[in-house]
Amino acid sequence: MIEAYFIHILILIGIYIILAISLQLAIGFTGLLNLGHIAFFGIGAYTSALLTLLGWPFWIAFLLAGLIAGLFGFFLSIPTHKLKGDYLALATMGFSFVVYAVLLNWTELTRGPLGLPGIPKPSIFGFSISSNLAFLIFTIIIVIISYLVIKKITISPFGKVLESVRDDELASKTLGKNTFKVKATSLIVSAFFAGIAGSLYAHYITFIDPSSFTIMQLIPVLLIVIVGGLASLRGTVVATIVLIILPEILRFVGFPSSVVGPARQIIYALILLLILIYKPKGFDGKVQLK
Amino acid sequence: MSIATQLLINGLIAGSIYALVSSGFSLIYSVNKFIHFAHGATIAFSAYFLYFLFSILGFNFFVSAILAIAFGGVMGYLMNIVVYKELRKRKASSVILLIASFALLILLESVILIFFGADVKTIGYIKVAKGMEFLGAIITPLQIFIVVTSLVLLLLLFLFMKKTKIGKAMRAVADNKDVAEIVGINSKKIYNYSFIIGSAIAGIAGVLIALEQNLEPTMGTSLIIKGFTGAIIGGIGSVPGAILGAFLLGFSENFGIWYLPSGYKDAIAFILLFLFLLFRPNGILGIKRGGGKDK
Amino acid sequence: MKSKNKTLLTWLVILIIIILVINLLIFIPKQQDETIKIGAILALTGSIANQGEWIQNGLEFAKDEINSNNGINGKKIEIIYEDAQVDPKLAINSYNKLRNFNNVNIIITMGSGVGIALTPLVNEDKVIQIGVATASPDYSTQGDFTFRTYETADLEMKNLATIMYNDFNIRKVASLYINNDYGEGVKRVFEEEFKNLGGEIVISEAFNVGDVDFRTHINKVKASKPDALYIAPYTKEGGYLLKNSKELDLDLQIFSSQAIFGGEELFTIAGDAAEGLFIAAPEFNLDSGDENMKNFIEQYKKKYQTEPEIYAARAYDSVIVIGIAIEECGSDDKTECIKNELFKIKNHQGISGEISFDENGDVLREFELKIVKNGKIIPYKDIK
Repeated sequence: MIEAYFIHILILIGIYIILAISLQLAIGFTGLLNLGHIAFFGIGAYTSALLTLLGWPFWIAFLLAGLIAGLFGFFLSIPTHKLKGDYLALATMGFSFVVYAVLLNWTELTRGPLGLPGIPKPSIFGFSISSNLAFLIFTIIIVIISYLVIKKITISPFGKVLESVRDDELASKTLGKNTFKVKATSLIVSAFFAGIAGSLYAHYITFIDPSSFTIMQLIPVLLIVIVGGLASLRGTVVATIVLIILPEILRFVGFPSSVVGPARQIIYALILLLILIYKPKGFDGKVQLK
Repeated sequence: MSIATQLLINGLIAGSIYALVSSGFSLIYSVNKFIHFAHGATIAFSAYFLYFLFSILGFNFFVSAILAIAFGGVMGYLMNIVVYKELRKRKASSVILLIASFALLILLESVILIFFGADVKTIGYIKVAKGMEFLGAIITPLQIFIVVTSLVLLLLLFLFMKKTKIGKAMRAVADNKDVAEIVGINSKKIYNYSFIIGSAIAGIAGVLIALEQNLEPTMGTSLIIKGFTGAIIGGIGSVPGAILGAFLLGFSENFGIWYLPSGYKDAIAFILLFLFLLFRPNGILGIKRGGGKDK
Repeated sequence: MKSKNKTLLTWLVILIIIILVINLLIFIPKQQDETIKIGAILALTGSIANQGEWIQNGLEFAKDEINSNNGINGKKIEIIYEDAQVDPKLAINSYNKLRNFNNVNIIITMGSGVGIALTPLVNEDKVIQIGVATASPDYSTQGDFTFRTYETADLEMKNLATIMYNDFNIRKVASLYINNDYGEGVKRVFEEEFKNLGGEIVISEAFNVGDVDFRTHINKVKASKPDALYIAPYTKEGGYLLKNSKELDLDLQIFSSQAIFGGEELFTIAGDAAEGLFIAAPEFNLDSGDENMKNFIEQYKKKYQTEPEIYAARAYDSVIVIGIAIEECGSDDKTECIKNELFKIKNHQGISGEISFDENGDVLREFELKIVKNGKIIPYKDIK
């Protein structure tokens, strides 16, 4: 049973890594402060859950989770194209609220607050991923693929364009870059991977409800992105591992579970404040939040 | 019973509460130029402080209420000194201040959760009473008190901003900090004042909401989202605009859920927020005071 | 990475390894064979924390009783508690913890949403789940490993609908229910039955767990002009609903499902707005005269300084029947056997009533309409 604890933590780390590096692509590399990232996570989770509950094969549901989330990434990029700074942050936050409200109220589709129980474990072409160990291996594979894809994007010429849009959008436009296309692509890819992470989450926990996808759930992810350092994928991965394991201290101090939850949030919020004040570049960051 | 009147009255009550939240919030925003999310925590802390003094320690109610309001002002002041000042010293952008404020909100609400638990607490000062009939709708004495207090307070705030020296100094800093400093206004002091006054208003909101709706740890987050939506609707840089927006939000919510299932109440606020941010970020009145799209 | 950061990173890695190792050392499961482990996933905080407390009392009471009589085949019972606040997400977390860290094969749960969410997991893992406060008709229909000692909504709601229609001559009902598997489940049974009898549901609206402001709902109810109001809330929400009803001068007979039971909390919140409320409940007569019952009440009062509620009795009975099944099978991990033994239980005289598990793992109870009179909940027939 000891391995069960390890496996559980590693799966969580895997899911958060994908969430964090996809957000890093938007914030750190493109300069888009997308505070609505969790909405993509939720859209991916619900898409995958609903399709598999209807009997669709897992691998299709999994990919569609990413694609539909990506589609919403595109939708979000249109009205937010001209927004900057805190208005962009607020609008994306508002988007996250609206998605939450839809998940909560469109009960014919999502069962609202009742959530979706009994989400089936994944099975790919007849091979069932039912044990947690198998799920961990699957997760690791997806994490590696996601990391390689995003890494490739950031070191490619397109990656340089992303960073130029981040640093000085006006200049980039002057040089003839279609900055809308650039930002939209970034959001689409970012959302796609968040959607994939959502699918992993749904099939691991086997139950989702709208409360798993509120702005509160963004705090650890945002924290990881900032602590790891903006525009550093390596830093993001390290930060994920550290920040997911750190609150596990609370487990052996023996707090009752009603205290563990808020205590975890306090730790995260405190670290975020301290980092913002004393080390806003994070540990491996190349740029600062603007 | 006239439905329209009842909805109007419900909207008025909700609007009054939201206006208390958004006016303080907007005051702080217009002077400090960043989104102070943790304003919600100020409201929650004042409410819980009232609960602590009155329901747990058994102090006299009015004394507890006054102390709770003062406590709100102190909280705001401390947040400014401990967190925001440090960030400003390091030339933090308004985006960083926004994120920091958000983290502060989560931090403080989690503290409340730990000390008071997740269940709803009641302040048993007002007994369950039947409402009174008023123009075909029902309203309780407490609700009348809230509406009146809110309107009086907002009037006082308005006079304060227009007539007093500090008020005028605040408007000056809100308009243009650099020019204000040139004429000798100490902007750091004004920042402090804006936090104290704005947060004291939040304290009043906390006390009233505690009586009318009772307390739970996440009350701050819900209220600041509503207050902030109201401020955006009315024009975030302007305190009168924020108040107007808050009332509009209150009416929209209550009329809206007459036709929609009641679960949609928050959804109405969120959708209005999102739409305004996208299409009319300067609010209904189009007031372009401080902070804008093009930073 | 700068070298300063590298040192920091090394320290962090060391810290992480320390944390993980300590966690594992603390949680290495104790010797398997020594005790019989039962996991209890309850609402110890939140909207129905009172019921959770009663259930915990009942569980502890049964455990102490069995353990003081030499346990089961000599082994003592150990109950491990987790607080999930009837949130299915937290419950799944608790379930994993109980399975991975505590090696549990039998769990007691409360809440329909929790029960439904855990059902696929317990069936897959062959874990016995007994719901002690689980009303939804959707709970026990899937898979063999789920049981309950709480009567299904079918019983209460069909009886309530019949009484409202025939005895109270109500034809039009407004319905307000809590937005989760519990509320959804019970109101569905009620509304269907009421319509089958020939009645009309004029309005049916949900409210959220934790809601405290029902003014809009009540205004809508008023506008729909019903003969009576049916509600399916938990204690807290029910209390505020009643309070708002009085403030808005609703002036209707109100009939509630069972979960509004919460001891004093209902009256703390609603005050005398609760006066006249009808509650659909199972028969649970503390003066039934049965020897076992008298003993139970006396001992319970001594230990907890209060009279037992039926929630405690159901929980007590659950542990007792688990004990009976385990005694036959030998140990708590032989869950196939335990499952079969549980299905064999017929006419077991429990404190909460007679227990026979039907093919779904459900039990039947006698129904009784209760009413709030002078701040107390009493059987309606006592004042008719």
